[in-house]
Amino acid sequence: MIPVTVVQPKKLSGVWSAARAAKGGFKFLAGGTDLVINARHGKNARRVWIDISRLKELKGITEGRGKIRIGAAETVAAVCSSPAVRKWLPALAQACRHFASPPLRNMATLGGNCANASPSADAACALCAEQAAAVISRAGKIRRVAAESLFLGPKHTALRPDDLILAFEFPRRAHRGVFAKLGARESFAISKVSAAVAAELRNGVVCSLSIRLGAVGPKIVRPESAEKLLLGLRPGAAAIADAARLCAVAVSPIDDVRSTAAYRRDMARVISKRALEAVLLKTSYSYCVINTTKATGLHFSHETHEIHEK
Amino acid sequence: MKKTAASMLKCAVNGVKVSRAIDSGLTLSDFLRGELHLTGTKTGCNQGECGACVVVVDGKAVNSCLYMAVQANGKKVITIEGLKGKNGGPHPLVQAFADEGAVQCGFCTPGMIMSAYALLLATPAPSRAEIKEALSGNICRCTGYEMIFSAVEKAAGLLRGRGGK
Repeated sequence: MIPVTVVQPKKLSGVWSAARAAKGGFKFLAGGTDLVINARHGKNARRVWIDISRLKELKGITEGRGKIRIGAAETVAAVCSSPAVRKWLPALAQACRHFASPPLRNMATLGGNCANASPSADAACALCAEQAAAVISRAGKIRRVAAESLFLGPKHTALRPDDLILAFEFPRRAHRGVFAKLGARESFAISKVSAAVAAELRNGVVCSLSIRLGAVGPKIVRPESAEKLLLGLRPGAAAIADAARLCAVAVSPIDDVRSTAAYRRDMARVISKRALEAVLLKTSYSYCVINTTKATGLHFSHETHEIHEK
Repeated sequence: MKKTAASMLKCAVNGVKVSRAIDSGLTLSDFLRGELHLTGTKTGCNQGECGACVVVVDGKAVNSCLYMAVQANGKKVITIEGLKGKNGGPHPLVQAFADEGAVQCGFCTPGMIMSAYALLLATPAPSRAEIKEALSGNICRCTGYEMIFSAVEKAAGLLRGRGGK
């Protein structure tokens, strides 16, 4: 048993009264896949958890005029099976498709993946590449910020304890996107390195590009020099290889249980190159989940993803 | 341990309505095993890694060790004990696991079967790749997975033969 009292407000307004009543501090409970584990390890202990997983204000995936909205309490499984996400947010759809395991995808939420702020969070990495804005409520007062600005360091965000992410909003724009990750096995692997790329091409020329790298720095890394190098170009293999080298320069990985810093840095180059080639060079591209162990070397598995362009 | 507040839990477990005041700090696996004495659901790692605790909530596989029991309010929970075959016999998944030799020590088996059950609810005729993917959150430390995958394939065939029930 976990030494906590779970309160379940029926409406969003009930969240704020529950928050005021929780004198010793509180945490929001959504999927619980990080919160419960942390509580068992005595981390971030609070006596009260406010269950936000059923609030209708935090649910729904909608395609509106000019934007896509995903409720923060939508599960990763719901996000990756959403036709709107597959159509308009390809990098996010792919990241969610390869996120943890099937039962964890049925529990974990997009908001939780962001609020937990692991540098290796796959969905959070893709959210940044897809230019997500986070819609945040503090005691009912709503503000919108770039989701990327929330991340300050490992497990450290700009969110106050009473800041609740309600939803993520994305510009509705036809673009190409890819998410590639390197893990110890094909499924259920925390990324050693991940790359999310979203790009718009006009007549083969790159007119917008966002590259984000996960698990290779204290927070999700934006290799701006690589983006700038490719913007405005009709890129070929050589330019992409140069950009991938810039990605490897931009990262600041560490040695930990999953990998070494040196290996991660080199793999940041490999994964970025693969992801950029998939997005920028192919007329119908495959996205790749790249797995490796030191013993077996690289193994690539491909799945096709239909390009959606006007 | 400091006593925490009780909450009402109203849900259906294996088709039976449950309504009781529980400690809201209980996880679903604690509740199923400790309060309902449904010990078919196992807890292995207690951190969502091994899949031994998988149960099906509203048609979806979840790790019951990380799922707070009160979050099952109003939902339908199916555990390994809830899988029944025709005329009181074993469920086709259970039968297929036995027939294919897909069980060694058996600790992972309830979780494997419940992940497979959730898969077959959504995908009655899964490919081998879909079976592997659906079971990727379940770990067996006795032996390999091939016989487990074969058992799920066989059960899918048996279930299709009787209209998916």
